[in-house]
Amino acid sequence: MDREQTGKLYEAHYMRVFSYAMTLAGDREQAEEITQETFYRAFSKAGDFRQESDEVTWLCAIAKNCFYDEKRRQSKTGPIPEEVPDTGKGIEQAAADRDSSFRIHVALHALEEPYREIFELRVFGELSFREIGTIFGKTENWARVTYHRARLKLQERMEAQ
Amino acid sequence: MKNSCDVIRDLLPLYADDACSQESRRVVEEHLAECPECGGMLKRLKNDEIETGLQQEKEDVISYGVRQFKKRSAVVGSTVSGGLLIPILILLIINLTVGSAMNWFFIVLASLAVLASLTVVPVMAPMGSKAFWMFCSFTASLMILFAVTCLVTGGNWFWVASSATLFGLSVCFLPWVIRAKQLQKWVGKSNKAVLVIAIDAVLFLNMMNVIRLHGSGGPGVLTIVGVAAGIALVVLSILRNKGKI
Repeated sequence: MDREQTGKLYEAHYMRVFSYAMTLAGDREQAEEITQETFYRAFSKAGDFRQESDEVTWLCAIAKNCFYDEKRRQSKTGPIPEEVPDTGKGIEQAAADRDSSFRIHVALHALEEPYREIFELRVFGELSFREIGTIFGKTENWARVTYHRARLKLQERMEAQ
Repeated sequence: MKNSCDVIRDLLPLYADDACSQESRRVVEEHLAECPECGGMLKRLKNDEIETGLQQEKEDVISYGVRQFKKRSAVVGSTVSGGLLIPILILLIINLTVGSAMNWFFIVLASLAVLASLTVVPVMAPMGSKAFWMFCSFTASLMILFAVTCLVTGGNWFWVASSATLFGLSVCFLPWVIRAKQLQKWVGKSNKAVLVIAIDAVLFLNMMNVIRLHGSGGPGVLTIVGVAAGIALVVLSILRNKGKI
């Protein structure tokens, strides 16, 4: 596995944890912090980073702990007043963006395998269909078709909400 | 010939990605001209709002992650460096007020450099080369420590100590250090074992030579030949690797 593919998989893993953190926190800033903290703890524990799919499950468990640790801390000191980021879009639009992002991640999290993993590898990892096919032991075509099926399912679920 | 929608829908992902043959494209387009349902499906396939949104989010999240990671490393690195700076400042002040020569100040400085090579360097070094830079800085700072101590105390044991230490370090660590990216240009893929053995041999013979010289025996012919042969082997391996490239 060359360095470029390792980098892609790392990004895919990072974003998959972020996606899970989004479903927990509902808020992008919090999710970013949780993801950062998760990988920091993971590196401190394991040192070496191996890319296997159950690695994500382990990382998500750490993320969950981070989330609850943060909640406990906040309940002791009181909620931190939320800063509304000034993106020039207007408060309503920014709020709508964050909400739809949350809904996308929730829908993604609910997607069945292998659709979810293929979607995440393609969108987060930017892996080619051939690379995805190799990971699953299938053809490039299978990866392409399954990816598009995943996308359409996701679209359906989003519209249904 | 009218193809059923099922067949076309199988082809649509390939068509949408522009990854199908001329023939298939023709067949799909013929069908699309007459079938609004399949046209609708194509439209949904081409709607990449969700993916684009997620990828934009990804850019922001990843760059945030990188910034935070760099911040953390910088904080740890500067904390440790700052901590090491305190004894240096204290010693400097003491030395200046007491007014004696600065000798042992440099010894302490050199030993703090050794400490820094084990603590600050691994934190600040880029991912993937940490071990390499830690090893290099540790070896270099240790040699400097020996040199400074000998200079200050007037000892003559520098060559013995340094050649023995170098030999010991290379026996223990060279097989790993030689795999570092920074050395790949010279080492190549199939030279590693030869180089490790050759370098270990050179350092061993060098050490024996130095010990003999220290005990005021002359340099032995065999050790000189051995060192020369070892160096020749190292140079040949490097050239062989270059020749391959």
